Amino acid sequence: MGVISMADVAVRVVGLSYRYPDGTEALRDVDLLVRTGETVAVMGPNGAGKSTLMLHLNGILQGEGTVEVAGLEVNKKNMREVRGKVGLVFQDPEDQLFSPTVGEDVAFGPINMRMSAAQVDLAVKRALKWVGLDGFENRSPHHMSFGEKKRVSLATVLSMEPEILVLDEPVSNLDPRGRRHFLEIIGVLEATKLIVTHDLEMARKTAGRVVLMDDGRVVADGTTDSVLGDAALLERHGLL
Amino acid sequence: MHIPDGFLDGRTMGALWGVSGATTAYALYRVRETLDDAKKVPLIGVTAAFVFAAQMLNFPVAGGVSGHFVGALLACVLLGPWEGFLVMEVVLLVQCLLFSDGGLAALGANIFNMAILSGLLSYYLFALAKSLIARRGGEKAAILTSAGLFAWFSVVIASVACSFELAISGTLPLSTGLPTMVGVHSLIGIGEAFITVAVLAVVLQARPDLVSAYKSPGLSAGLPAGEVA
Amino acid sequence: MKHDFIDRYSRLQSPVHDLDPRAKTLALFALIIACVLTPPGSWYSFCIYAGVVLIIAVASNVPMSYLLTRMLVVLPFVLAVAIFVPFMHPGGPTVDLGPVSVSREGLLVLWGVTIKALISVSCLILLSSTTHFNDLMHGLERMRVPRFFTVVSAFMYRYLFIIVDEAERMKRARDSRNFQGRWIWQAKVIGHMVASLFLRSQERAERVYQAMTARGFDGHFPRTVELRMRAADYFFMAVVIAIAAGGRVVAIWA
Repeated sequence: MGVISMADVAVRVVGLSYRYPDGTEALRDVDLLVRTGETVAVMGPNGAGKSTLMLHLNGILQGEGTVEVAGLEVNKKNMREVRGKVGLVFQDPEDQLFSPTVGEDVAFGPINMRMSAAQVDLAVKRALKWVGLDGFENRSPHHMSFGEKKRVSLATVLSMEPEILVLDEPVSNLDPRGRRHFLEIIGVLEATKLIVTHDLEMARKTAGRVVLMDDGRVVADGTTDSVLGDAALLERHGLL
Repeated sequence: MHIPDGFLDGRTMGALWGVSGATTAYALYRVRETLDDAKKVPLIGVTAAFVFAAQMLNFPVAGGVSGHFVGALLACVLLGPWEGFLVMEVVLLVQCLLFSDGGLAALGANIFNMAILSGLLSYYLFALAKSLIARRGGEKAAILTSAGLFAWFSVVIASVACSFELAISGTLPLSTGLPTMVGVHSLIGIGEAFITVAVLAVVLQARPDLVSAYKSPGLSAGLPAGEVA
Repeated sequence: MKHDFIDRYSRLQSPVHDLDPRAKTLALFALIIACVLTPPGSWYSFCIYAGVVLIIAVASNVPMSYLLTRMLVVLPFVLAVAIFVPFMHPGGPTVDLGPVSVSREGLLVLWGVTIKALISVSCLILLSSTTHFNDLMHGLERMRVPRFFTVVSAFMYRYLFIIVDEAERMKRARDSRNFQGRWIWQAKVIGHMVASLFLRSQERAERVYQAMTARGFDGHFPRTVELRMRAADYFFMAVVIAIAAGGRVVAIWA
């Protein structure tokens, strides 16, 4: 990889292990380095530990080992700052959206960041514009189509202007048009992106690098072409 | 059973505000660290919402009278007695302020009936009975049997208290109020017991870690609640 | 699903909606206390209380039909007392009402509970129809109501929609399988449905909580706009409390 300065590192995970309260080992000694501006697809079969790893990036889960994002160590002291830097978009928009109106939901993060009323308004407007839903502030998320809900979910995170964007299965269950639209939106975002998926086509289209996980470990890490070109590897880890 | 304003006299309301207030102060002291527990917060919120929603659904009893689920014992068994008590208070407060269900001046009395008697008192009797039954059989079976019994009791005791309060206030004489209230609520209590046992049976089966009154080693958590700062 | 079934009309615009939630809560609470502590025979006092409520109601733009419908919530209790009126205070003076004659004392009790219940319940309906839920909670927080109550209320409010959502899904699934049968079987099915409704709501609530935490939620619901009591708020509060106290004093003199 050569020498890279710390300022270029968006995510640094060293020797991370995590065990669920019931004893299941979800992560075993995981290392991961992501450079600022990179788009990385994190792939692997169900139960590989992808989502568990993502939940560590902004401290929802805390295991053994080191996790640093945007130069900050993830610990109790830095938690609010960390959560402002890492935006997590969950797979199911129903879990992400819980407010009566779209505007309130998009404002939730900025308000938690203790922004002023004017800043919050601006952040909400900007985030909704990014996802092509300007003027939807007073709509109820419950009356929207799945594709729109998905975009509102993204807006609830973009309103915090995160440096690192983590998307868990961003296009699953979307119809082809909704899928294309969503990919266009995230394509123009400048943040460092980690995309959790087991969709090969989506990884080829969006990511320059693929990290393959299985059974709590990173089993392959390389350019998209090299990892996805290795049919034997993909088959061994349940992606083909 | 939510007594509206206007049915109780000042003396009765004042006295029950006093009892409920003192109990609340002690309960708040007991749960002072609960809100920092990332695993408990969603459960408390859901239990409150569940009890709240269930109380809005009336089911017909007999002769045009309808009753509703109280949920106080269920809340205490799931969350622990003091958390359960406070959750019932939240439910009663919000019902009063938002749905005008139960009066504001009468809130002290409603808290006494449905959070202290149906909640705390019934819970401690439940816990006693549970430990007696558990000596002869499994703990889960003991919880379900005891919960069924005292869920019924929790509804009846609240109706007894309610008729005494109305009688002391001169609103409804005891001789007519008590038998009617208790008669109706013995029937409603069967529904209460049924729902309480049904919910506990399923939760004990699927997520025993969510039942505060069930403590046994090696519990497994179904979902990663983990450590949250 | 409709999100406004709780605090409907709370987003209307009116002078009453603009008042600080603390001013409204305290003023209406004072009115309720004065009202429930007034002896049933004090007609003038009840006219005064009802007058204040009516003025606030008109100023609030909340439809009268809505207020009246919501007031029906006290009906069961009033009816329960009404049924027992004939049996109350036997031996005292009576009033003939067509076929039955009931005690004067009993009728006075019935009148008392009815008018007090109606006035008090209108106060509460006006409070919830003119104050958004979040503002009400914020107001309570500022009035030193312990955090446990406001935080749990806020979660309850959010999770209520989850439960209604899940219940609707389950109902659709059940109806699509042509649910019928003997009542004991139905009761069993309903018991299971209620139980799994609880479990499903709980599991979704845990995920929602994670998503909230991921966006920086730390157990406090911060506000962008701090509540401020303005002159109008103090004025409203003072006037209503003074009238409530006045009404109670009239009852002593009359």
